[in-house]
Amino acid sequence: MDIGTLLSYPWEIMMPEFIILIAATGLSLTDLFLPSRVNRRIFGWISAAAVLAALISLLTQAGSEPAQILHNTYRLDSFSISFKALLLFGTLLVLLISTSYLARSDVEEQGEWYYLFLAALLGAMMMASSADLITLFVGLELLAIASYILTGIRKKSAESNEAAMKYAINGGIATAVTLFGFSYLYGLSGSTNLGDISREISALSADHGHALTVAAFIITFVGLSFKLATVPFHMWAPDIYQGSPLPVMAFLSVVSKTAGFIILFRVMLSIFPTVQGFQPDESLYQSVMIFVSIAAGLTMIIGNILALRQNNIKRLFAYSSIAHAGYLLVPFVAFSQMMFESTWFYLLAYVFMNLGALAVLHIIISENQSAHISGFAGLYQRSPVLTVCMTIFLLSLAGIPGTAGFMGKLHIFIGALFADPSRYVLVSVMLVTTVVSYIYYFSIMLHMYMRPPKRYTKITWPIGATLTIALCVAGTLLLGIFPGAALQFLQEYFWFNDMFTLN
Amino acid sequence: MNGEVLVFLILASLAVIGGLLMLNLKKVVHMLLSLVLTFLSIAGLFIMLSAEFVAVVQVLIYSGAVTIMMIFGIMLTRHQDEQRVQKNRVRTWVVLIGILVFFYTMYEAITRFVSVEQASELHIENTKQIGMALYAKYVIPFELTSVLLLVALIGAIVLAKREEEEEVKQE
Amino acid sequence: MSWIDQLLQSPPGWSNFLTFMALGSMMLTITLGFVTYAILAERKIMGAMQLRHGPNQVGGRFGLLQTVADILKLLLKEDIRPAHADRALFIIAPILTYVPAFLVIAVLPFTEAFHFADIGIGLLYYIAISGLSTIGIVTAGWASNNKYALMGGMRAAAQMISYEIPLVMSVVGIILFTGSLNLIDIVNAQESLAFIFLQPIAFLIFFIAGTAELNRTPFDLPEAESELVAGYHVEYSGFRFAFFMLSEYVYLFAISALITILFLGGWHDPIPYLELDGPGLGAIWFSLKFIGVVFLFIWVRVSFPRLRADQLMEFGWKVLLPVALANIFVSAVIKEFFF
Repeated sequence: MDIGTLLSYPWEIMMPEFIILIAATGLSLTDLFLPSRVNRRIFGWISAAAVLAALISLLTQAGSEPAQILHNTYRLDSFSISFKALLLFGTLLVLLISTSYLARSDVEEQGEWYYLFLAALLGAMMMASSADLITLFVGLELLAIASYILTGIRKKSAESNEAAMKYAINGGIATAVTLFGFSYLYGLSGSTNLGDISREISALSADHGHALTVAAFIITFVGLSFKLATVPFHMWAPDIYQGSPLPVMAFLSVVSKTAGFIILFRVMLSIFPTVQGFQPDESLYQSVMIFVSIAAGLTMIIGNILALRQNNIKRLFAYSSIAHAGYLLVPFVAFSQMMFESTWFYLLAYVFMNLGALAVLHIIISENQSAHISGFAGLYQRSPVLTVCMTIFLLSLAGIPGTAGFMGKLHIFIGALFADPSRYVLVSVMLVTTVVSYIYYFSIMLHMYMRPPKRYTKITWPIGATLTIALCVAGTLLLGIFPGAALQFLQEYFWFNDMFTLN
Repeated sequence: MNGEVLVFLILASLAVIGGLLMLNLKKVVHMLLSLVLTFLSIAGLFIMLSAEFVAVVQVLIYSGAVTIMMIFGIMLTRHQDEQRVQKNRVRTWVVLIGILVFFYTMYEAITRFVSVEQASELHIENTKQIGMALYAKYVIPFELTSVLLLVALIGAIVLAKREEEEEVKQE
Repeated sequence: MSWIDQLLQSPPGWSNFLTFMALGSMMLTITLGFVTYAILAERKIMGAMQLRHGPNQVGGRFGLLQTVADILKLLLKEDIRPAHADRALFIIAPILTYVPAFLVIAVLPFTEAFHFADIGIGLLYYIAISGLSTIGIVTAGWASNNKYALMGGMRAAAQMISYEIPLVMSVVGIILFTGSLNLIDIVNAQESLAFIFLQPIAFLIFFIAGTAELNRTPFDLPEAESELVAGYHVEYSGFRFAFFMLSEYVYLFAISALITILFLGGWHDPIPYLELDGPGLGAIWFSLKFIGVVFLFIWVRVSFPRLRADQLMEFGWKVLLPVALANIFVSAVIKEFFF
């Protein structure tokens, strides 16, 4: 291939990725040549600006025809645009929290901090915009390796070191399992292109490659479910969330999880719905959903029940995020018309409410120097505004009407009930566990409103976290009250079915 | 039995033996050397598949570089070079049964699989074909890999570098 | 298809097995003969450069049987194994070091007719397999349970990793010009012009890194007598020690042959347009070039003092590697615009 052919591809559709890439490499070079006494705080704002620019350039692509470069190793369709928007927005908020976190922390590598985040974001974005196993896998690894380093970046903290070690080992095993699953997909079809794989596997007759196809599905799902932190591969999450710096925890629980869902949707939905299932009238996708629905149910139950026992607020949020991953698997299982919409909407709501809550958490933890739940005691007396914000986030996480979380859950319910076949069991599990989750979310509120504060010092509002909280409050309430706006935007600009028009 | 099957059986069993030894030996250096055995046997298996480039890269990267780095790390930090684990009988059996079940499932699945057609052109100018694929079709993941390596490099430095004040103190 | 290819692709059987054994033994004899007289040559040349005679008693006035006598002495020596050494590894380590040294010879084409395996990735094979010797050296250092040996082993590992990278990078230019990793193709590409003229920087880097890979002065830190007693083989004696010695000199043989192949045009005549490529002449040209390279290695050993450990690392990473990378870039540009 000569340079002319190479240049004839529509590289401009990779604009958002290029912006992030240039920002990351530019910052790393600047960091290298800048004298060490110069404060790196400006890096935070530069990278936030870069992410914002990428977000804007991405939104200009909304509504465009699906496009691809080099046999779908890069692919831009409605699915990738809409979910990349979530990744970029989530990272933007995480970077804002970072600017206030780094001002008060013992992290020495302030420059590296930002471009590692950008690199992780780049990996996540590539996971969203490719229909080729190799690109997807490299993106997954880029996200994972940058996350391992960020987890352990507080070198003097034993907790952080432990978390990084656990994350690297568990993540490495999960990667190996994912790759093992991919190797079966490749072996069955002789191609890494998802469209080709789907076609080749569908062409296999039922007795020839059937058992192997099921094995490929299960192994791949197991490997990918590590990123989502669903049961039974959730054990790493609490320890690692607890040990890592708070913005990294926010990144892992929101952006990394979203990326996990993206790759799961892309791989599974591109390949398996067209393959013949166990029964003559169903697809393999529907046949194996029983395994996934068991995993989803267990995730909701275990995540919510274990969250009840936590005193450490970071662990509590870790279990809460496990439970939310369980909710998010429900549309994946239901496989209804609304699957993409409800997942996207819930993830957007989750970005707002979880990152907002974590931003408040950052303020509380840096005030108290501890992540114990008693840090919330008497928050109402100390700062009513902060308390109200936190209340909104908690209500939304719990799924009380009037908030984004409620609308998200409602969509998932409706989708699961109108699916064919209806998923009554899953829906009831989700209802019950949602009620259970009220207990631990409300116990935080109990501390904030009812308990007397330990100190009456005024709470300082660092600028980055404040900005995040403001954005998140607005988002949570707007999505809760006018959910139609977001959904209309989705329906107007995105046709998720163009994901399947590969090649 | 023809020579190919014989060589395959020897290499495959060497690879498995290397893996088993790695899990069961006591000293870390012994484990590493059994790992080298596995790597080399796998390289041999690649040669049998006419994937000469992959085979040599396997030797170069895994047996040459990765193992040496690991040996290096272990020797520089040899506090406890003997590993002591309490053997949990029940767990050993459960794991063993799990492995056997998995093996049987996959074995059944693979024996049922009937391959439609086999690639027959792959061994001709193998290296050239890999190069063509890498720099033409897969140029995007290839470039992304360079970012990945850069991140890994920065990460290694970030996590391993000593702070400047500490260095002064040590001197 | 040459006879060796036919042999390699024939069905297995006892006759084939015996043929392979015979060929291997023949090559082993050649290399052993080389090692014997390379050691003598080294001592003689060193003697000459230091204005002394060198060996001149055993085997006539040129000391022709001196090395043979030395080897006999080594073989008859008592085999000592330290009490706290790791028994199994102590025994395996010399073998681990020697086997790769002999394996790499399989791909070296000596003349048009005289070569063994003609594989597409010969150059890469050489580099990959030769890296395996490091494992043997480190194992020897560790298994001896001796501080000096361990330090020697560590130094060897660090040095080999650091210098293997510029070594590989320096030949990328040649691969670019040839478009092949096959050593025979590389030699054939030099019919009119040897690569030493096209890639002089690569030659320098390769020669320096090669010296380091061989652990020869000025890069002999792994076995520096005055610092580490003898480095990784301090606890070895008798024929086990002989194995280390042997593999070192076999590598000298292999890398000199490789330099001849890569940079000096192999069996082609050194002066182009002389048309001296007749049958049988190839072996002569190859031998002459090869002897020249070996002499260069010995000359360097006599002339240079040993480097300090940190200077060695700095030189590898901060000088050789960037220069090698720049060389690749320049080669690519030259290839694109002038060829």
